[in-house]
Amino acid sequence: MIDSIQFVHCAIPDMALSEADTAYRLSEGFTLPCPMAVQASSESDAVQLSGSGAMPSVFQKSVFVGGKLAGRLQSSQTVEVEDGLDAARAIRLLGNSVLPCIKRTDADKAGMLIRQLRIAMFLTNSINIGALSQAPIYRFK
Amino acid sequence: MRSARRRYTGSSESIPDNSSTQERKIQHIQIIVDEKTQYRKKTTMLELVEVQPNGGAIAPREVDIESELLGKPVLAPMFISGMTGGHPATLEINKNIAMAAARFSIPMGIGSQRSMMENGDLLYTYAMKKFAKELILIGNIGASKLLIYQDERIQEMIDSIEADILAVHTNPGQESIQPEGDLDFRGVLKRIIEVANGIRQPVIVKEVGNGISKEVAARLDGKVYAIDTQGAGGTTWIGVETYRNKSKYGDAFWDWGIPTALSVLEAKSAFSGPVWASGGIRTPLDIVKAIAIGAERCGIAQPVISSERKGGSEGVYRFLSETSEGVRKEMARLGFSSLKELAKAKVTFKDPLKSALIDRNIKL
Repeated sequence: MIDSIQFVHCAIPDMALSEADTAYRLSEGFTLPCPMAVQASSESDAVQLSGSGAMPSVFQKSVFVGGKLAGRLQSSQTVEVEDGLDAARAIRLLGNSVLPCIKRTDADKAGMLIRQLRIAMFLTNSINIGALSQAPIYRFK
Repeated sequence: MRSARRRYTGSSESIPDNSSTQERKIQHIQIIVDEKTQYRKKTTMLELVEVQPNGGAIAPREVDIESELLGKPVLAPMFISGMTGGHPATLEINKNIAMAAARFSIPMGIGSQRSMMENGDLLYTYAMKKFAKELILIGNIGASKLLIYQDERIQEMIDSIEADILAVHTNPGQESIQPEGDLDFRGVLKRIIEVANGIRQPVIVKEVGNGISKEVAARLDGKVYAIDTQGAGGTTWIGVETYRNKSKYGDAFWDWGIPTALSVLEAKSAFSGPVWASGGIRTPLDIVKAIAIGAERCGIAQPVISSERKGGSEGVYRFLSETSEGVRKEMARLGFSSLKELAKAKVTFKDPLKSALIDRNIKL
């Protein structure tokens, strides 16, 4: 489903990549530093992952940031993504009721995946996640 | 004719000599010629364009494929996209291409003149009018570099090689993957417009393989002379940088960009000046289709440099001859006797190009 859309490239963005603000407010009302989380294998794993890693973590419905519980998913769904571009597509397609997640085995790639997300924001001239969720797309049929 | 081997001194700004820029030029050529840095999943979408015949076939000799550019005759609706310059080894490549392009009276672009701005000794690798006086030469500088240089310095850069046109390339995709990339494009659009007003030569804005959207085209409308789409479907510079740097994150963006046919249609919908098509243009039929959907002329790069590497200037000339003869034959087969007629051709689009155009509110 995520593959069905492609972003329209912006050849002259009016921003710097470093300006891309990845803060992500889920529909439940709590905000994450980035719109991706690592799928943890247990609650203690989630606490440890989010405390030491670059990304939030999620176990079942609980989302952790910096080793602490940030909130619980109620209506929002998690969706598994392979890279930061996939995460950007998921947000564009499904809005802030989705939390893109990477596999536990990809936890060590978190920094790289966030970098990919920021590149997607830069190349769509999206200064923040709100702008990314409105960025022009193609829906190739 | 002034000596092309003189040192370019520039003026006010002091930019250190940067030999890494030179080395990158050579790596790029080697990778493009030797490695698989074409789009993997994406095509130009020109295969989804169908040109309706204009009555019956005519004889190829009845087909006129000449046009004019800045008052000069151009014998075929092609140009050679800027590729290289800035390293001593690129002199031979540019010289061979220039001599063939001049024999065919088609415009030739050169690679980014950034190396020359950093090291004036490299001017001779770009100054192709020394070898081909009548050549229509297109200078080249990166859009983000316009933030560094004043208009006077840009004017000197163009005049020093006697370029007729300045191409400003915008490449945020490539820059994103380059470890040394420029990732701050704030003020770039404004600066492009200032430079277009501040120098004597016409300015073309071109991408480097990711295409121009209608939103960007609209912001350039009336501000620059032309747009060169350089859309997706040919060489991917994100791919080149991914390969060169063994980038961990570049692979996800390998197929990023607007396919060339779609980009031509996007740009035409919002830009009233000439739109040039490039990015994955490989065959005479590609050229005919691109003109039928609104392109004024088509740029070719990778096949030209491959021809040059195999057969020098004669190899490039042979490629240009075969391609232009092919364009004439395709137009004859479809019954078009001139480029003006072809530009008014009835065209139809297949999915997914058709649905993308509908989605984007682009008139079919």
